[in-house]
Amino acid sequence: MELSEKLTILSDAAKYDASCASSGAQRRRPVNGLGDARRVGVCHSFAPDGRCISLLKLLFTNYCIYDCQYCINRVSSPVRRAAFTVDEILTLTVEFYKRNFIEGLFLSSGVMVGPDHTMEKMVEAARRLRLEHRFGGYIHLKVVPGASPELVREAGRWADRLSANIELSSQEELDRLAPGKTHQNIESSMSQIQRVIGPRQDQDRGKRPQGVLVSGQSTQLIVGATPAPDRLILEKADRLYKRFALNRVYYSAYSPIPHESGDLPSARVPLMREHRLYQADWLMRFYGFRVEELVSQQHQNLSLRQDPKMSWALAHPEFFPVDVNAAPREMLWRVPGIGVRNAMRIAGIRRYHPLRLGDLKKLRVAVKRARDFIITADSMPMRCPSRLVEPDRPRKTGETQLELFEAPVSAVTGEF
Amino acid sequence: MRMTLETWIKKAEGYLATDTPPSWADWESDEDHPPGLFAPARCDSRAGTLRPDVGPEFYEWADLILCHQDSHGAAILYQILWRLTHGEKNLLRIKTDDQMRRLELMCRAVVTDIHRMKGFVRFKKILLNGIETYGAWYEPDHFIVPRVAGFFRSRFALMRWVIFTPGGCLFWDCHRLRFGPGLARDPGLRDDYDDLWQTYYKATFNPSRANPKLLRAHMPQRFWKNLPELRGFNSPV
Repeated sequence: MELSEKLTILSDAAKYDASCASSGAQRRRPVNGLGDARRVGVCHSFAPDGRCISLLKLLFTNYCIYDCQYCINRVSSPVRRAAFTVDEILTLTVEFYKRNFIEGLFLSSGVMVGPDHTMEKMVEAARRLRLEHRFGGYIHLKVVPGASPELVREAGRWADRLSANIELSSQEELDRLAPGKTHQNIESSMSQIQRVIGPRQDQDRGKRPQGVLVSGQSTQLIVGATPAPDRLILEKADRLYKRFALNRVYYSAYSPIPHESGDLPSARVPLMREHRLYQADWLMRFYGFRVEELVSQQHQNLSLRQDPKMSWALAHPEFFPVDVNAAPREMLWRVPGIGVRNAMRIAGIRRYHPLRLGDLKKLRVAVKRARDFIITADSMPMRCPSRLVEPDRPRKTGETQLELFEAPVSAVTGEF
Repeated sequence: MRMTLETWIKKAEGYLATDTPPSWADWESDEDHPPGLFAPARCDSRAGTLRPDVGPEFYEWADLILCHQDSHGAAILYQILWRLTHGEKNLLRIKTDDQMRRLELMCRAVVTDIHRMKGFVRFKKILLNGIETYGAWYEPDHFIVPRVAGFFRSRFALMRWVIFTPGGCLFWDCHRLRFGPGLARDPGLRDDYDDLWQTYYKATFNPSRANPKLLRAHMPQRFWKNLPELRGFNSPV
């Protein structure tokens, strides 16, 4: 099979992994080597879905012994199969890098023979890139759950980032859709990765154990392939962040794959749901929100209509209005429409003069959203926040939902 | 052509020394020292030695602003400097000030342009005077080529490369970085790997997530003609 044909099959098969981050590693070019890594990665292109392309994202092979129903590469799927040789992966990575197409390589794989066999191949590709090509660019390796700790450790010598996908939010869902996969297995891979990386405090200070390159791990969770509500998903993510010091959890809205199994929803999950999960995740990591402030027993799902911070604010009129000229920063960034960055700027400016509504506009605060929650030098809330919006209706399955993005013809036909 | 930071500082110091308010200062002419009635000769001797003490941040900003294709940047910077040295020493914190906002917008445009150039330059393996060289044609929005040079030099130090742009060319021969005059037109370089890269680009995207508006926001259409993955498409979706 020709290289371009393999590339088509094995990048098409890899596109369901959302991560394309190349930030976080900082490394000078190796002596006599090619490439370096920057603290802030570079986007070399943007896909037609608007996502940054910074890594060459490939599967080593799409042959797989597993039969995960949500996965296009499951053993029972009738897709065309292919496998790269290690040399082909090295050539593509190095030649693409030299032309400034990419920041590096993201290598994942279907599981052939067994976890160790597959992991060995991926580690070999990374090792040979580093040693034979003296490649200094970014490498992200997927860890196959069940691979031996020695292989995970070696992967950590060559890769900047490792990740094991948690796939679904509970074991029951895995049992139903991904026979043979267990959270115990996946989480034990995560904890192996964490041991290789070392404690989070050291990680934040850029300190790493001798001979270790890897500086972070992430995971991915599929949303909407099962009825699991956002509450379960966010609670799972929160536990993973805390237990394994993950850098990122990626949420991937399930979109029906060709030749899908009958156990799955045939409609795609609204991308808005995925978007809301990312917003909630962001609020948890950078804004000091706790999971139970965003979702609860009564409200199991995030609202699709309004962002999670707005939902929280509407449910907590007792916190408002907030005086932008006096309130502590942590309170400022809880106001809908004011982010952490602008909260800091506001705190910087108000030492010199009191802020008016017009000033907030200049800072690009979303004044329309914020104004009912704040007091400025020249304005008071006009309406009582608790009466702003009727409470969100619970989400029914099959209900038509808002869509964030336009769906042009190509989305239906699949034509480029 | 871009005014260098040194030239700007020299002029600004001259104007400050003679207490020239912004509305009197001339930033259009090319002379080294402030022209006109109020410019005493002693300005020149002080030049470069006495930076008005307004903090290093201002000069970092100034260096970026002077890369902007809008030549008004020099005058706006002097307005800010004037206010900083005339009772508004905290002006840089006041992000709601109209002049500061204008400065910040210009600054952001330059930073974006720098970031884009790092990503969107596409090298082609060519023969230049019989030697293997990686050549690229790129059209930046602002005068940023010298600022991006270091990025390519450290990343691709063992490759001979050249980046042609309308405003000036950048050569790296594995030892020395050189700047040359610009090229008027796209030299039309080709590379066998362009097709493979386009193959990858088409396969790596999930049509059910298409969002052309977001694509254009991140990668404005004027850049497409020089990106092999988008060549031949008016719109990839």
